Amino acid sequence: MTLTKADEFAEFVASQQTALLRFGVVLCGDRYLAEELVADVLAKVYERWSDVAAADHRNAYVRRMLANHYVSWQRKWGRLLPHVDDALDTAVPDRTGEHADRDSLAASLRRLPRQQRAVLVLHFYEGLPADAIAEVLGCRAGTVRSHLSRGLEALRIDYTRQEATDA
Amino acid sequence: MPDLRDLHNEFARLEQEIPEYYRSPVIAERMAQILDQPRRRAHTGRRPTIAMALLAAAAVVALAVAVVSISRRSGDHAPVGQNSTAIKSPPISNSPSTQGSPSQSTSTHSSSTPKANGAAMPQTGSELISYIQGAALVKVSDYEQGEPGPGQAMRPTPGIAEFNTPSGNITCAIVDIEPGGPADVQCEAQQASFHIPPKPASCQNDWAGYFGFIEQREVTVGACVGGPEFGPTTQVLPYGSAIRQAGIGCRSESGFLACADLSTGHGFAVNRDTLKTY
Repeated sequence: MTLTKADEFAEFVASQQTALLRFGVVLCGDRYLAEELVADVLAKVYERWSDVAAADHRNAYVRRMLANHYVSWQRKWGRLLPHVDDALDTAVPDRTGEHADRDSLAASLRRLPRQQRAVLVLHFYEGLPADAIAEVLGCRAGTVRSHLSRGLEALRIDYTRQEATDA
Repeated sequence: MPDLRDLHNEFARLEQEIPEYYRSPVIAERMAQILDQPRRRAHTGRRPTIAMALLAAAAVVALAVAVVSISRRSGDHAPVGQNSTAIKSPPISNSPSTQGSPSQSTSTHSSSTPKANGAAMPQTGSELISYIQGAALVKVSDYEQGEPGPGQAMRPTPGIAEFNTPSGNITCAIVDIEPGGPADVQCEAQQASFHIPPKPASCQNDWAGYFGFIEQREVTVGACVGGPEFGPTTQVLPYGSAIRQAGIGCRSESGFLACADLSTGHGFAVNRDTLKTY
């Protein structure tokens, strides 16, 4: 029996939803926003299902769409929205150093410009090199390297010392 | 101080916010709408026709606004720094530069005769180098200032020097973060009227046409961007001064800003009306 477009799409959503949501929440840091972003992207996926279905790496194709949607969402709306994490960041946690460090890192991540954060996620979570990230985001490799450097600087992570083995 | 292991741990922690086999109600609702659309369309026979008519009317209005805007700007030769209501959307050029291609000779993108407010732009790459080297140098480290977090002091960003022109119209960054490699420079004009290349099909983000850069010794006009390219900077490169880092130099004057790879003479001069590449 031949599957219809709707059947194929529904099957794809069922099999990839968890992975996409996890990628989305790492990208944006907010579970509920991740659900909105993934839902938006899945709507686009359905519109261009023939392209997606024909792609060599279907999952990578959709993740690329998600990363782009997240970044462009910021371009359009990011400057209009307040930083929701400021209160979290300014609170002084009465905890052990380990927890304080983790909270501080999480707060710094939330404050990153979204393209910087997307670059960090694509590099350190997805494992993509700068050239591949540039292709995913449709920007230049120099911009990716610049965002990597700035992002790690903002997180207070010494890139040159910690990432000496990275190509 | 956090390290990369902490970053990986944070990503793993975020991942776990989505339990295995979680089914999102938001996605379920959106899927139901998507998959229901064909049926709804079948029951609303005339609606697509009405929508298309409305779209056509909107397109006619937008075209009229664009024509009026372009004709107004055709007489606008205000110098850099003069406040203007010019919109950022440019007229489409018939002879655009190609994104990513090196500039082998000089090329001018201009909405008018390329006169830079009295001062002539250099004609050749070697003239461009001499011009930039003729200005007093500022201290690069003064321009390597990162964005402070809330309540934090400025933090230096070694290797990334950012500045605005005194008018505030042009923002640039000289990026030198690859040891031994050539530095890159990127500049964006907030308001400009020169012709720019059209958005390439490969660009899935926003097209920043008023964007010139030298990367890996090549000059390009236009950039595909997914977010702000520059950190907010208050540093100003005063008129009559130049900044130099890793073989890249930029000189600021009231007539135009010029940047070049000082070893090759490839670069650009830019103001509100003109972008000239070398």
